[in-house]
Amino acid sequence: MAASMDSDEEDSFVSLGNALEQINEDESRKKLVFAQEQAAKDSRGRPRFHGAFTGGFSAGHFNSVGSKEGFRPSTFVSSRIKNPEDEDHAQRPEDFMDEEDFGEYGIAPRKLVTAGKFGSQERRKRQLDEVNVMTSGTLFSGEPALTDLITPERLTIGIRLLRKLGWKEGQGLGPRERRQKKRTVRSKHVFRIANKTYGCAPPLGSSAGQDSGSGESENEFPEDVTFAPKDTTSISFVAKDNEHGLGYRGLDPRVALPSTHINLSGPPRTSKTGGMRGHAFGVGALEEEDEDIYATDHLSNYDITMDIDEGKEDLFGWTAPGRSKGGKQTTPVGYLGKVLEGFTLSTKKLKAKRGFGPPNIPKDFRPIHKFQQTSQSINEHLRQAPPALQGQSDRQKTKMDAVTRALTLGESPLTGSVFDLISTKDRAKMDTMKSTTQCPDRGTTSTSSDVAHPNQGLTNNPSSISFQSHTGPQKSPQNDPVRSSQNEAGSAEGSLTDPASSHQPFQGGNIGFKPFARDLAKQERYDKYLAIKKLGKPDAYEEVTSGHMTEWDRGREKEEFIRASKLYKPLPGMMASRFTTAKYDDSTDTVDVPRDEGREKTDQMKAAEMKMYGQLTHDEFEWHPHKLLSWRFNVPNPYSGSSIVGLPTVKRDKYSVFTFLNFSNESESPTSQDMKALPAPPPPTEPPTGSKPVTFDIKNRSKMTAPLKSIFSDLVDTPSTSQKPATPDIQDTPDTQESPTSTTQNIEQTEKPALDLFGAIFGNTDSEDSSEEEEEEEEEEVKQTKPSHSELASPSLPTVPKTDKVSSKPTTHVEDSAESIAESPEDIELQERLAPPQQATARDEDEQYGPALPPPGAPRPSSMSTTSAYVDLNLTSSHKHRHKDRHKDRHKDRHKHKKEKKAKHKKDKHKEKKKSKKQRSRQRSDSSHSDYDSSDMEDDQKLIQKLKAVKQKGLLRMSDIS
Amino acid sequence: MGEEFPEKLISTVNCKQGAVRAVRFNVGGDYCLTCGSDKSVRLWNPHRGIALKTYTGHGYEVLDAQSSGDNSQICSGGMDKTVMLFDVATGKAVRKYRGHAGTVNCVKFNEESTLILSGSIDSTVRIWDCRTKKMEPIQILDEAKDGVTSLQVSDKEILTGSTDGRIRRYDLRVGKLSVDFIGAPVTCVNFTRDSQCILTSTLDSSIKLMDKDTGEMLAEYKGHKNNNYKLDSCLNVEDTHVLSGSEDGNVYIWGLVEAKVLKKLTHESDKAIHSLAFHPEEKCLLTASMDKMYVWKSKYAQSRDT
Repeated sequence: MAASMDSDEEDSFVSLGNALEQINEDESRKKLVFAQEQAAKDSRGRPRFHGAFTGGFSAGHFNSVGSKEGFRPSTFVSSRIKNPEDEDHAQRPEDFMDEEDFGEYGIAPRKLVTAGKFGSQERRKRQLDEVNVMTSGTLFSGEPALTDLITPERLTIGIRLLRKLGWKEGQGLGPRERRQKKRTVRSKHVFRIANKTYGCAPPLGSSAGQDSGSGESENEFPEDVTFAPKDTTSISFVAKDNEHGLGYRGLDPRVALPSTHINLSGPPRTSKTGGMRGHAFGVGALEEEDEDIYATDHLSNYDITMDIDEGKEDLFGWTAPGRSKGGKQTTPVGYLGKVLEGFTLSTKKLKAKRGFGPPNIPKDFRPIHKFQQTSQSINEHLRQAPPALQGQSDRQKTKMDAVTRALTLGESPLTGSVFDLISTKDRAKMDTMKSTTQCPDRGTTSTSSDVAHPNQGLTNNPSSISFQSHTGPQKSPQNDPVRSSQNEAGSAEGSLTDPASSHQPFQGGNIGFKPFARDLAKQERYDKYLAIKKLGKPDAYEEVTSGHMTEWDRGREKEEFIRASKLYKPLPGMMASRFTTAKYDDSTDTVDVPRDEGREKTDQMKAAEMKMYGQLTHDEFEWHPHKLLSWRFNVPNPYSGSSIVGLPTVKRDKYSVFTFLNFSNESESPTSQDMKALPAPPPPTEPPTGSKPVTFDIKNRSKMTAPLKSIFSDLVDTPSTSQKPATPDIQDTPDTQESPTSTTQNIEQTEKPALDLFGAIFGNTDSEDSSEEEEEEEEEEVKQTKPSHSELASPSLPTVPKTDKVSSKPTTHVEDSAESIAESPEDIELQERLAPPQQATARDEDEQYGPALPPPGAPRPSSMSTTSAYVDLNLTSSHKHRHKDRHKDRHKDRHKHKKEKKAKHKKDKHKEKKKSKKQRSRQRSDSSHSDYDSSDMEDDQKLIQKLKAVKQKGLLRMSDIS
Repeated sequence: MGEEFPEKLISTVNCKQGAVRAVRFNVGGDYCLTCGSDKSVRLWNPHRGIALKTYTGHGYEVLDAQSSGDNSQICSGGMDKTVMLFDVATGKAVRKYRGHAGTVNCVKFNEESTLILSGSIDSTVRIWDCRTKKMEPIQILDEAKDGVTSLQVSDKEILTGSTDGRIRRYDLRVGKLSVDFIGAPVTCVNFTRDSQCILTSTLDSSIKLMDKDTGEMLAEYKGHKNNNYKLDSCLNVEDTHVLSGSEDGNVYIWGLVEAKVLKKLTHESDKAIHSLAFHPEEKCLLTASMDKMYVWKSKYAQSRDT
């Protein structure tokens, strides 16, 4: 450091490490050191180790053992007089340590460290906390990136301390100095500034004059004025810990290997004359020296002149471009401002930067953003122009949300639950049903009847929830079209279905629970009983009993029914076992004892009422106390050998329901449980109007033989059994159109609800064996229903030719089988939902296999403009996907076919009516979904249908009973 | 023996612990316990009207308590579904048994005070062993079909009354459970001193004396009013009288044999007298109504001025 030449020599030196001892040449190298002299001493020459008897390691007060003072004990302080915990007299561990222990290697090293409070980490944390406090609840909360913007960085404790000492920014540290020193500081500043004048190329000698000028001005300062020392950055020395030569630097790959393209053709950048190259590495003999490989240094970086100049000295040998001494700074004539030291005025004029002002804010602008286009308003738009897809899309081109986009693209909208798939009409039905079941005029049987339908809560309540939650933005576009189309087209059908639907109450999920499946008649009675009970009649059982039963049987069965209806509820088993049903109604003051709660109970009750206590009211059971209990009671254990505790002979068979039901409440959903216990739901009663098919019971009985099949056993039903009923089914189809009115109730009744529901939910379970006939049957259905889709918007379209085809089908379906295996639209449902709409349209084209769609150009007397668009979509699709899709879908389709088929088993005779009904319902709902793609609509329809079938079945049964 | 009733109101003590849910004498009859709705159990000297100690630790209203045979411990149960065991001297909770699914209606020690039996609204009686550290009941008597309202323990029998209208007597020596159907929900059961009969209160304003072995009704005591609350009934020292609280604010005293109302102890309020306890040796009756405890003694006893 050449800088500190005029300051005191002692100050400028920094001593690092200890000086080596001077080697006295005269002394003999090896001196005999005796053992006693080799004692370990501490830094002050005192012995570190003492004998064990004198205190051992570092003994005594401040290692005073062995010294003149010896061991200095602390004086005894009576604890009575003075609190021993007084700080004067309390012994601290430090009292027994000497300074070595406090040293760097001692047992309790003491050194100055920054308190945690002042550490940078802590500071940062505090800052963050502050930010959190300030921004909590605002938009920026939890954004650490913005903290610096929000709170200014605090000054460090060091700077704050320095400021208190009088230090100012930009000053150096240390005592204030006189003018002489200040000069150096100034020049140093100049140097620093000059060092930074990269862009400018000051003319040589331009700034020298200024320096001298400033020197003159400095003389004006009086002697007694002191200046702060110059601000220097401390030099950090790096210890040399390697064995390279001084100044060696390793090859820096960033420098050595140019990342950019090397211009080989161009001339080398540095001139050989001016450069001074580093030669850290040798160059191969065959290689030419490449100047650019290594970092180059330039001679101009070094001061090679030797003149002694005051100003120059301060530069520590550095020569900045602007620092070359020379003439005065020339200021141009017209220039009024000052010129910084080291700078010259450029001859070129700087181009004025073009600024762009802020935009003009209109006067009436208010900085509040309003979202004008909400989904609600979209719905409003949709409602105004319900099915007109094109007009709608035009209008809403800019304001589409996900739902509308999906609608226009023909995708199926997101469905939150299965209940979304139910048409609005059915929902309304369910709502009314729910409201009727919840009406409180139950009287004494209210509790039991509520319990009697445990699944009701499962089915009805979610539905109601889903109505509320899903009918909002998503569903509302569909709702109104439904109504409108109903009004338009559904004149004929509406009249048909309305009585049926109004007549069908919805009997929750209790249909599925068949505790008495082994005894069909009993089960039937039970179902009836449930239904009647649900209607609120107190003596439900009396109406169900068949005459031929004995009194005893009747009583027993009644109790069973009551138990079954009460005990089977979806309350998790653990909890259910903890409670018993209330014996009496809480709301009334007087207690109405149920007239009869089973035989033995009534006996007891009668006896109790008549105060004939004794035999009748007294029961004795064997009871096993715990052995510890009898031990504690000082009583010999009456059953010393038994391991039973409590009542050993609990009559479980009383609960006949439980004997063939496995209660796994937690794992299984109630629906699945239902289905387990449900081989075939026999209709509880005859519908009053229609005649029950004779074959019906027989079929059911055949099913009864295996009452405890699992759900899946139904799915994997053998084709042989399912085939027989299928044929009449098909033969019946021609009637489809003829008699749509007569007995719609019967049809729905025979359907199997639980499975369909199951299938609707878990759309694609594979089953192993499937007959092609089934699929074909399915196909037929599709064909039949398909045309109805095409006419969805045009109810007046002639459908007769299509149905004719269908009706002719049964005769030819064997030949067609190969063809018809493949396609079954229901299965594609799921795929469709996932697949892009293009595929869907392709498939639609595929499905035009059997009954030909009317030509696209055919005149349609449709009132709605959407139909044409919809048809167009169909036409543009290609046939490509046909076979592939079929292949894929086969598996999935199977079980559905079967289900359908099963339903057909039962329906057989009435199928045609059902179909017609289906069609009708399809039409209705199709028109409601008119902005969908056809395929999606179909899918939805199927689902809806299924659900409807399920529900209607329940409703039907209820109504029948009532 | 002349008809002597504890008919003189010696003192009325405001327990200052909310509603007094139960009042119980200790074994010797020198002290009594009151269970308050302020989650505390308080130990009194009823004869002098001094509160001796308060035992806290319950999380909700305390419904029943009993002191152990050696007066060293107190067990209590309450609406926090727990059964607690207190040390009398220190006032600290020794055990807290959790396990009941509902309010604990009644607690009793066995004769040796080694077990605590607790009957709960969850229709079980749980038997806890205080000798071990185990916090599980050693046995659960879950035969009741409805909440267990009352519980008595003799040297070899456990007697429970339940709201299912039945009283159940578990005979440990024989290993038998005998169930007697009473009809109306049972609110209180008591053994007679000779342990041959059972006194049962039911919610149809009737108290019945039942033969223990055959289940026959020996006498029925009527006249009081008990339709809604769980009211205690008891027998006097000599088993000559039957006493019961009533919802009309009186304590009714019947003759055991003749089953006639002999006396009515009228309280200052007409609120239900829901708990009462008869002194085990003397003619002294404790009754509890609302937040007060009443001490009744023979008319010859000196009244205390406080």
